[in-house]
Amino acid sequence: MQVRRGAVSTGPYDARVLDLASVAAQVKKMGVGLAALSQETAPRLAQALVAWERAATMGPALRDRVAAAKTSWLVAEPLEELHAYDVTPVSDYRVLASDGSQILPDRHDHVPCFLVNVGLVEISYIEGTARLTSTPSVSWSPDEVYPLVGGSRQEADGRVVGARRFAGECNALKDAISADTVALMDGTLLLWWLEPDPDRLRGLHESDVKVATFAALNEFLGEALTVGALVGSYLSAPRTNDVVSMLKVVLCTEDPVDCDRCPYDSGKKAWHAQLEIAGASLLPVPSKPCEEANPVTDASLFRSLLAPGQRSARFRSHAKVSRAYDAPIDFVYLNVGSEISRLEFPAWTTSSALERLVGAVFDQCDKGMGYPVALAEAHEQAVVRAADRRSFLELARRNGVSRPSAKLARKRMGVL
Amino acid sequence: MTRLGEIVEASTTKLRAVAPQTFEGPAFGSFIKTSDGSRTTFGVVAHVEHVSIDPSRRAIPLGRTWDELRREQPQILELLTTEFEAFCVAFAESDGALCAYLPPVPPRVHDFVEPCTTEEIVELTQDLSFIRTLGASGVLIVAELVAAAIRSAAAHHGDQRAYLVRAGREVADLFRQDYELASSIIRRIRVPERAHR
Repeated sequence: MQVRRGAVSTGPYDARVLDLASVAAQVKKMGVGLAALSQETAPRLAQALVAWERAATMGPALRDRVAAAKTSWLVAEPLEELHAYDVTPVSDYRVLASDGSQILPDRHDHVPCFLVNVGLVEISYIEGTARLTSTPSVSWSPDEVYPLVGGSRQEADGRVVGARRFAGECNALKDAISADTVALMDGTLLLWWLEPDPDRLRGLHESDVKVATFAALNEFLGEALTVGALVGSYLSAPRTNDVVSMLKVVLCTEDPVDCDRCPYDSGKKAWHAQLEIAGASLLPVPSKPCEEANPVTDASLFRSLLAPGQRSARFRSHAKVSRAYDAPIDFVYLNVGSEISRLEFPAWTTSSALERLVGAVFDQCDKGMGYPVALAEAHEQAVVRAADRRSFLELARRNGVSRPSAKLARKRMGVL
Repeated sequence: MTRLGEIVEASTTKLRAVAPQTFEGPAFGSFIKTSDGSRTTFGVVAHVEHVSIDPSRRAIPLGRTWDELRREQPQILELLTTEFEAFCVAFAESDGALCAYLPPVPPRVHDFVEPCTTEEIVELTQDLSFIRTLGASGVLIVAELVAAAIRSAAAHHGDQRAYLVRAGREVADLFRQDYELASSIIRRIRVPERAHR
């Protein structure tokens, strides 16, 4: 081995930490850029609001136009008149909420298993009682760590464990619900992240992770319908835009709307952007009418339309994945004061049940300082902290099921 | 059996336990015991606290009475816990007599803590050696702890007044090098004047 002499302290000091000075300069630049972007987005939001006004006066014609539209984007179907609805908070109810968390398989730790921890919270505001529990389950059998996913075997990765966790949350709620319970989940009911095209589920084995996950959701929703429970899935800071996409259908100059025959794309027609700020450079200039509402999200739209304590009209999701469900998925947006959130629920929820569900969710957000308290506590029950993870790995090591890789062992040595 | 708590930390000098019901911990200065099946360790409660069960989450003011909280935020009671610490002062083997000094090994974690019976307290406090043990515990509030233990012991002795006088003499003798400490303990165990009844 060649030894380099006199090389010590001759180079520049090279600390192995994040170069915060460089990061700070970039974050500062980002702040200026984002402020400019929000200025450029303002006229787009104004266009979306104009389209909203127009949509609100269209009446049944809006539904027809939406139903006839062939678009490349996901369009919400309006089920109620487009205006803001006042919500009366409900205070005498029983709420159930589940949330999960996981420890993923770790190749370097040679832990050939994963852990899913499902927190379940049950609070009764009728009796003034609360029950907070969590149920961990360790999966290690070859069928679990090397499962069938979409017809082929693969290593259980984040998506597979996420699907197992989602199924665990559904099962926990299914076993605990009863008549008039408000059952809450965190995140979307639409499993597009697992399989966007439900046609591909056909012919798969029932033990396939995708099939089993959809089955768990359908069984939970079926049980809720049978016993008469209310189900809502709560999305904080939603990034969805199916309502804005509906407005794009309104903004489009063609009838019927057909993206495949867009005259602006083919050059038959030219579009002159309506409201643009001089010198704007961050957003592309709209080249067709529907782009006038880019990149407005549903949340920013409803921030202008809903006062605190109000909900939006009810919409139906036309996400392709919902075809794999026994019933479609509907949703409303809520202004809970601190933010605009989205609540998804099965289409069989009657309008009086929806009033009770939304009323309970508003009460939950009020009690939870902006976020449903039962979901927050379910998360706290489920969360696997760094210390828990270390204990789990230590248990695995003590039981002889783990042997860290050379790379990990070297990292843990912490020596110079 | 009245269960006062379950041990979550233990050493040869002290133990920490969680009460089964929030806000229902043992009294400061009271005598407790815990048995691992063969050895019973006796101790004096030296600290009681109501805390969040999760060290990373603190309670915050909510501006509501407990009646309102039970109705509107019933989960909060589940997220709070009452914990207490007790100093070991004596132990007894299953077939042996009481030894008024520290046990050879700590009580076990997860063993239950119970209150001592009157007979046990009388036997344990007859010779007053617990005063020396507690005096050497190193707690900041040693005067409060020793005085509370003496008061709680006296309540179980037939002639309370005679017991307090005897304990007061023991304190004066043990802490004669520290007048301030001795007098502050004695002030705290003084029998109320009968004339004021």
